[in-house]
Amino acid sequence: MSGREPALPGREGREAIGEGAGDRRPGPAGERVSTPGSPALPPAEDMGAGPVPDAAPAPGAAMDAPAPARGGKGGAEVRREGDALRLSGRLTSLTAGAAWRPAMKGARGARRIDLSGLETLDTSGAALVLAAAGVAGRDVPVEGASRPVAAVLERSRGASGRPAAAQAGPRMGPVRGVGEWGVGLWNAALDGMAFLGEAAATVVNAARRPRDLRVADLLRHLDEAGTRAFGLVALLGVLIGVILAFQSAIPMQQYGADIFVPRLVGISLLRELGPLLAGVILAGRTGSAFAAELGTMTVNEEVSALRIMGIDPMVLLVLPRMLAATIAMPVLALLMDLAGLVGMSIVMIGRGFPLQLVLNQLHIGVALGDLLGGLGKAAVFGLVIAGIGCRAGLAAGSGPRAVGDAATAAVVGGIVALVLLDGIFAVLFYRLGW
Amino acid sequence: MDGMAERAGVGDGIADRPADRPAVIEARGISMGFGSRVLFRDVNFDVGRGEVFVILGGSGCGKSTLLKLMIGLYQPTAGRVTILGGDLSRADGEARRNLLRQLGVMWQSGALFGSMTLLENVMLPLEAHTDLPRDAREDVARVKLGLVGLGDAAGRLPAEISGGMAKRAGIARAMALDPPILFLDEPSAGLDPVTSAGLDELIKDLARDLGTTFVVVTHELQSILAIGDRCIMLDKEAQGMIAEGDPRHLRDEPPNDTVRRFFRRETR
Repeated sequence: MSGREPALPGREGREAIGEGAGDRRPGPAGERVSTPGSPALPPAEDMGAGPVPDAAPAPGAAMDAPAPARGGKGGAEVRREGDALRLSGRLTSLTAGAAWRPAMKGARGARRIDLSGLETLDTSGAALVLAAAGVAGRDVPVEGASRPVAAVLERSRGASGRPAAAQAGPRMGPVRGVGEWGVGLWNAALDGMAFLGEAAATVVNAARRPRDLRVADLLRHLDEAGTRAFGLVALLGVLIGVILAFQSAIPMQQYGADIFVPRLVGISLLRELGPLLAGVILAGRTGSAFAAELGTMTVNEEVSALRIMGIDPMVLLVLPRMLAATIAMPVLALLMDLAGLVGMSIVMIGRGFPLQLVLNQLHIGVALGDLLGGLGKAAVFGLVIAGIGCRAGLAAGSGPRAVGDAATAAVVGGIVALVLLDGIFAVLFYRLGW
Repeated sequence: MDGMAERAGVGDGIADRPADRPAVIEARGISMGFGSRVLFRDVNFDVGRGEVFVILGGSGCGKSTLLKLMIGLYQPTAGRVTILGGDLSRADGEARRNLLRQLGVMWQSGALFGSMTLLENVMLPLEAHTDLPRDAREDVARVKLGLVGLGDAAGRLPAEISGGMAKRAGIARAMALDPPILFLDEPSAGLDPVTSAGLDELIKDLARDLGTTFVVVTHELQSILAIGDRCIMLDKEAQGMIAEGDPRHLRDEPPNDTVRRFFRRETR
């Protein structure tokens, strides 16, 4: 927190306008004033005050009409007439986009900017006028503005000129309690399905309009979910490989079968344990982080703010995370596989088997399909774990505890889903003969 | 307390609005509660164009909930709220998007996105709803920040600014698209008197210069009297609206004891 706050814009500039604009309605559109390029407008008395008809176009008048088509009917018009740049129509946040580049082009070399045809100006439109005046040059006069237009322009000029104990619930009987629990479970299942549908629709829409995806966010999440997990995955992979090799070699040695340990560990890692353990790491590390981050945003009303701004949180927040996890998971699973095989090789070499023999056994026992099947599973695990994490975050309640609950739900839900999916894949691969 | 008796100032239940200001928000018979807890019942009011309309009342009476009902985040248990003729809680698709463009909300906490600078926060709605080129979006966002006195802080993160600055930045973001209606949830809460007075002045100036309609939720007496054209008062015990009208008039001639205690800061 900073100690000192900058003051609100001073009233000096406003007074000039405000004197005559004391009533809430801006003056009649017919009154024209010349607004020089210098910061101050003439005082209101000089502009002339008069009765304010109800029909006077107000800057806020756009409220009772549908939003005008951008650059279309009801929009702004930009024309270069001799040495004058003429702006007319309704110059608002909705029309300024189409008018911006033509206005900047037309302002080059203009000797004056004529606003006499301008019916409506809001502060976004005022930013355009001020930018055009900046392009035209410091001394170029901005003239012909009606009084309400001049008021908005002057206010914006002043702005741009600045350097840049919880209530106890009712007691529930046991039957009612069970009913509540069942209904809650059912509602949670429905919400989960709704989220699944929303996520699927978001992915399809993103495939149709890839520019909606924020690449910078995607890269950040790829880094967080992927590259920052490499060390942990490699370490755990080596240890798992060592443990698996030791635990298998001792009983197999009794039957003289310890030469087959590389095949056993290789198939186990590539088909099952690599993706599964990488998934557990992703759920514990990244799924919970997604839930905590989105949960905090929900608690702070940032997600509500996004919705009210008409921005879909699924596109801005969920899609990059799900995509990043889907891409990162196969890489993590591959790293886990390789690290596990290194750990197994260390044990085998320690037990007197040459490395070449270990590699030969792996070559004979493990097929490319085992690796690809495992990586495919890993991608699905990543998608589901990220989805569960994001869903837990967006469904967070209020208060600091909600964030913790969301993180817990993400880890538990992610691991349960992981095991369930792994079972489904096992049956599916068996049926497909893989 | 007799809830009906407390509604002495409410008249027919629809707060009087000056005839020269067409209604931009209409609330009819709205009731709201959570579970078995009723917050308020049968609330009726209109908000006229260009008004600074204040929703006041003590803590926990449902002021912020009423605001969230108005912007469609909650569904009322009964009744309907329309904004510019549309019902946000029921609109969807392009109709909802068009309605959302017509309003801005300043949240109680500011609700600024922590990973973005103030400038980026204000640019976000412009990016989503306009086809302004990037440099133009930046120019426009700088003007908005300048309007709330934060021109110098454009490059700072929300974590690096004070609560008062965060509230002002929230207003700048709410104003990004120059919406005709702005909702402010507790704009003065937790601010020092000077910053609070500055915010009040800003609200009055924007309503006057830009014709913006403000719906302000607050229980700060000085703010209510300084900015409010008209107000309604909710009461927790009466579970509804107990007064309406010009806040200065309500202060001078309170229609019931609850209003009198509120404006005179009396405990009984």
